[in-house]
Amino acid sequence: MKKKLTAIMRISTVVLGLLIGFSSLIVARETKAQNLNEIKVTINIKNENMAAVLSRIEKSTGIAFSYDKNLLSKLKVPAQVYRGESLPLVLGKLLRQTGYDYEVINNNVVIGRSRPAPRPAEPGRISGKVVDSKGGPLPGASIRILELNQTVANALDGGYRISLPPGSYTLEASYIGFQSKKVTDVKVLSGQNTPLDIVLKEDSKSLNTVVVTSSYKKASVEGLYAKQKNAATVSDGISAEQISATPDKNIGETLKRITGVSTTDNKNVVVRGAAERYNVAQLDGVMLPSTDVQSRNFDFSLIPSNLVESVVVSKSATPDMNAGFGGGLIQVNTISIPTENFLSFSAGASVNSRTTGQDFYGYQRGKYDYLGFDDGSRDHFPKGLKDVSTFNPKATNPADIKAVEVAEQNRRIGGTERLGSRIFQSRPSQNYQFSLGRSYDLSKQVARKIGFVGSLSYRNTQNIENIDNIRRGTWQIISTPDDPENVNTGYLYNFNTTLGALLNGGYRDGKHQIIFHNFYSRAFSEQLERVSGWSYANPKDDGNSKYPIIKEDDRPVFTDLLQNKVSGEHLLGRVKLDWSAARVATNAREIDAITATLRAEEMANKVIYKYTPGQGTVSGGGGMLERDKFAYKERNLTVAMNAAVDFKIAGQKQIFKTGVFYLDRHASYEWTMLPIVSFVTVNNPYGYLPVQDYGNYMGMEHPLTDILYMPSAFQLNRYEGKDVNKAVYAMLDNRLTKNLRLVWGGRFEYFRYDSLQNSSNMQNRPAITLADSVRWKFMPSAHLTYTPVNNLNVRFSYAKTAVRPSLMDNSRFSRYNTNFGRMQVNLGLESSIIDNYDLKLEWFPGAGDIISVGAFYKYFDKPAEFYAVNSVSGTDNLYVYTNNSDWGKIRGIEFEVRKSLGFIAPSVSLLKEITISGNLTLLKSEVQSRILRTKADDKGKDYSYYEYMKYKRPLYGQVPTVVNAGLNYTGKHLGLNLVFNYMGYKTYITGVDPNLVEYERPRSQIDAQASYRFYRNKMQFKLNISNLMDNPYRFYVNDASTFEIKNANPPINSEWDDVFKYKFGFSDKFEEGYVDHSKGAGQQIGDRQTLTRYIGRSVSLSLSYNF
Amino acid sequence: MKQKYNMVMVLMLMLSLAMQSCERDGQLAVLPIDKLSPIEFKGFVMGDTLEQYFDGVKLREFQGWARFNGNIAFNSEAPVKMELRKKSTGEVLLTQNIERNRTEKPITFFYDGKKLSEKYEYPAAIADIEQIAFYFDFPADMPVDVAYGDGSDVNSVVYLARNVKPGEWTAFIQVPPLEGEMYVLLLKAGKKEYLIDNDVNYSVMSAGIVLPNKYGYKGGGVQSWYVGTRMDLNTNKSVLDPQSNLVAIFPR
Repeated sequence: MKKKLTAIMRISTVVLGLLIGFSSLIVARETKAQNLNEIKVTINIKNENMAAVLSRIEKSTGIAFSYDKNLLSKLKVPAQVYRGESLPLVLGKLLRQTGYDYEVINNNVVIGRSRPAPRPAEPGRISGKVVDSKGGPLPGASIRILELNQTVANALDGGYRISLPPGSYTLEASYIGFQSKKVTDVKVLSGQNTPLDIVLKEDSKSLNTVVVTSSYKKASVEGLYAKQKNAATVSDGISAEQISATPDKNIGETLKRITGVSTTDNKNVVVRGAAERYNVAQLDGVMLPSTDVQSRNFDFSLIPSNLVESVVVSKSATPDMNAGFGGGLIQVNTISIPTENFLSFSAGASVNSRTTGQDFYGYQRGKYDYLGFDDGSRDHFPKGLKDVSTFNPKATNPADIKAVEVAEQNRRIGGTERLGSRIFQSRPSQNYQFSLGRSYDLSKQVARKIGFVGSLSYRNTQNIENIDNIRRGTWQIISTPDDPENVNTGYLYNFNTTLGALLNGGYRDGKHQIIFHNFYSRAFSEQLERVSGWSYANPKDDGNSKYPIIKEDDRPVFTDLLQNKVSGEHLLGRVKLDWSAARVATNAREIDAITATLRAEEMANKVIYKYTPGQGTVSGGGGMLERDKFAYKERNLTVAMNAAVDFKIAGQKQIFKTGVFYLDRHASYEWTMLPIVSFVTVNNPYGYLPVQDYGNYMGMEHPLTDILYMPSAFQLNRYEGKDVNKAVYAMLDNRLTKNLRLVWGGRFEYFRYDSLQNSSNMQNRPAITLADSVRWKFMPSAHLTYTPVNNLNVRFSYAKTAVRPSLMDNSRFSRYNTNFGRMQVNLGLESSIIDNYDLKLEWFPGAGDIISVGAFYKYFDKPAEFYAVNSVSGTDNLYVYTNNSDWGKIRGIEFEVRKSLGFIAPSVSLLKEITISGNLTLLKSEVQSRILRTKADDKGKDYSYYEYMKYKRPLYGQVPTVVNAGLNYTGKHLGLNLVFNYMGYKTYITGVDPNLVEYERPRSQIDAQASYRFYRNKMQFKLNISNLMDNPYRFYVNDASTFEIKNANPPINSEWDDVFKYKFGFSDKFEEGYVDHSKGAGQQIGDRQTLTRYIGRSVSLSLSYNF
Repeated sequence: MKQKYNMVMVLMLMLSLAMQSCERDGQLAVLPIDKLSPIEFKGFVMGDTLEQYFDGVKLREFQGWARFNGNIAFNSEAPVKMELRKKSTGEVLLTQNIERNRTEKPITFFYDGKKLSEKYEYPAAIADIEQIAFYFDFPADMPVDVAYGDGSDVNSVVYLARNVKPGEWTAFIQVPPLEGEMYVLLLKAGKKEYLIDNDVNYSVMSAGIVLPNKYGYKGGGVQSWYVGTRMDLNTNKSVLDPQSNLVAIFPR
């Protein structure tokens, strides 16, 4: 701004000067600059103003000046005397420190505001890493700037940073046992960083100093190659430099840019077609707990992009990886000590085509919902509530629970003012983020520095998702083509406030590093599902079910996530030691979650909807209206230590690495479920009263008609569990020859899960049957990389991994899952052990480019699955079980390409800035499923056993076809990005019968982003348009109308395939079918569309500024 | 200076976003009911469909027998404005303000296809003589002979009216007590053939029409039957439905 103002002032001064000068041309004689020195001035000034002094000089010399008389008459000139001094000297002395100067313009003397003195040029920087030819860091290497004869040592991670005046330099990097490298023509620009990773080659022949000279361009490309090729395993990633070239605000947006990774809603991650359950997220090396209690998901949008150093997705495991996975391990590493100081702020807003301007339904909000905190208005769950399910309003037995006790409990719980949905005005989403990074060099000679980064972020989003059709769960599943209005529809209203804070810092020198990582997030999310339609039990008719019912399910959740970690790295001679200790705590409190059923009544002048209490019975009650609290706490403690030593065999560098790992997890889940009921049976008045007033009828003076909270013991209970995971490993990184590398080893892992309390919240439910029976597992792995030529890798990998269940996977707690439309019931999970085989050919045609083709095979022992079990779909007894199947197999191939278009015409710089990328994953899976059966033994005692299915089916959560494509332009100021994602059929819920298996239909999405940087790239403007096509998420079931009996007399224990076959024209893919009128009323013959959901197009705009 | 300028810009942007107030209560989705009053609508609509509006919002359509017996809900002191509009033209045929403290008298209406009146008019009863009128809401090419008989033989029926054109009322036919229990049967005009599929079971009026006989009901009543047809989706055959007696809908 200052510069701009100065420019404005300069222009105005010049314009003013020109105007004055032009007018004075009439009276002034032409002045030649070269004549001025010859003009002598003699003047005695006695405290006059500048205009008067200039006027006197004009008169005495005959030279006319151009100036603003009004301005200069306000300028006082102290007493001074000049005798025969030259005019320039006199003018210079008179105008010194007045803010004015003179200039000869068009041969006229113009006096105006003085120009600012030019500032000294701001220094620039060179930073990067010194690495060996395999990309491994070389800590303690020295870097010398030849022009300045200045030498610095790099840090433990191989990193260095040098501040230099702008110019062109030659750097020389050296390290014992390696050939020194001279890099010429390294340009340093004022205020800018020049990245340069330097690769040193091992010098096995002699100890004499060998210096290799390379240009900057060549050296930086080599550095990038080394990074890409260094990975021991099949992996992909994105670096801070690459992230900074994108307009992404958070990691949720960034993940989809990584090869083979897809995200849904920028949150849930699908790697190589494997669903979120088989992918593990780590933040700074610590496994993240799920931000969703009932499923295993982490919301990556919590982590701001500008604090991320790198994101690496590993698709095969080495023994030092402390997390088991089947699809991918997503490692997000945040910055701890910044390369350069920064201070940035960003603000943004977004609108959604299906949300903005629409009515936004929700239950009564708290005062601080926009800030992410509870104001206490939801707190209706005092401690010590008792079971009153046996309350009998007619009881005369003195031992029975008395009405006065129920009334007292009602009073403690409080009224129902919060209940009942309300209509709010939906607001545009908004987000703000503030980030700060500072580093301090403790020495100018060696890399020794301390530093920290911090970030605060706030985000509020409101979005409405349209459910155009729902035919699953307890809703009517049979469509009536003759009556298109007989359809169940609804909305999901999502209100979300997220606060995030990150503070990392530490110390780093050439041999030691200690880093603290702290991450905290608080999220308030309230989702109201409001569906209107007819139930399976009460289909549409002209009588009592003429109008649809409305079901509301409101879930306000406050989630805290706190992660603290301290870690260290030490170079002790040839041994590199690293250690870490971390604590992660998550606390998710769902307070005053409401489920309500509203029934319609046709009045003369309107159709009204009525909340009503459930029907109380002497054995409990409920069903119509309930308020609940669910509190989940998880605390994880992790300690890890690793040691690596390098040595040489036959001139080749070898690394031996070993380590120990300990993870202790503890979780509890408490629920308080309060059905709201009344024993009134006839002339129920409550439907006509506001539900907010029900608290006025809870005094129990009239036990037969009053309203009461009627919890049963199973509704006031808890789960508590813990597990321990210990591991020890050893691995060798062998460079067998110059071109052949083998990373191999084994991990010996102990896992034990214990339920400390495992109560059920259902009256009748299947027992938990399984737990890990094998405590110790040995998991070997081997990764062979062959590099026949410099830019080509052939990789073969084998790894055995274990995917551990989350603690809640073994809880007997069950709840309606809005995503499945069914009650989710856990039968207990044991660890899934996976044998992973990978074969991959990688070609790096240029810096940052990759073209690869790969194949993989995975064998799952006891894969965890969601499967539906009811034999009659559409009844109220709909469950989805989580349990292990016997085994599963996945075979897949993948292709990847990321290529700059510079090769088309190397001289056209625009093409170099355009990158195309794409990947394709094709896979096929099958599962040996099983059914849990119970049988009585000879003594009449029940025992359970598995019945194994003859026919195989696809594994849960698999997406057989995934396509990602992207077109990216990253210019100096402008960035454009177009991303296309296609996911094929997904097995959403499995089952033994096609009538139970739910699939997600293929869906594609296009997102576009544009960004523009200005103010010397310090300010950035971003425009994102997501979900351009607004394609819906669509789910379906192969309806019974699409298959027919092929064998009327099937054998005993027959399965679906023994009895049925698809009718002509139908398969397990989606076929809408046709309407059959042969039996009078039209009947849909075709697949049942169970859910169609739209999320709308979003347009977001943000502005960020780096100070 | 520059940084200050940028800060001001950013703060202004923040302020504009933060100006979006934090709404807490919203508007209740289910509005509380101020008062419920019992109310009954009775009527009959012929020749068109009438739409019933309350305070400008269409709630139901009437064709044939129109009835509603329930409550009217008031959310305020203001009366509720009820309108009957002709569906084909949108013409408002009746406007009535229903007050909170109205009497419980039913609101009746009869629309004959041309005009709306409060009641359906019919003749006074004559002792021991049953007076019956018919109106067939059939396709124009489906004239009807109305007869009675025991259903055993189409050739032995006794005609009450011949060649009745659809869309027109017959006169009130006076029927004295008959020699036994007889049924009203519909035949194709001028033919000894039952109206629907020549099947007596589908062509008999069965919805409560009673002819007087010397041994039971002696007559003396008035009946006015509106008869329509529709396709039964289960049997894929036409059936006589509805069969509405307007005299029963509009008792004196």
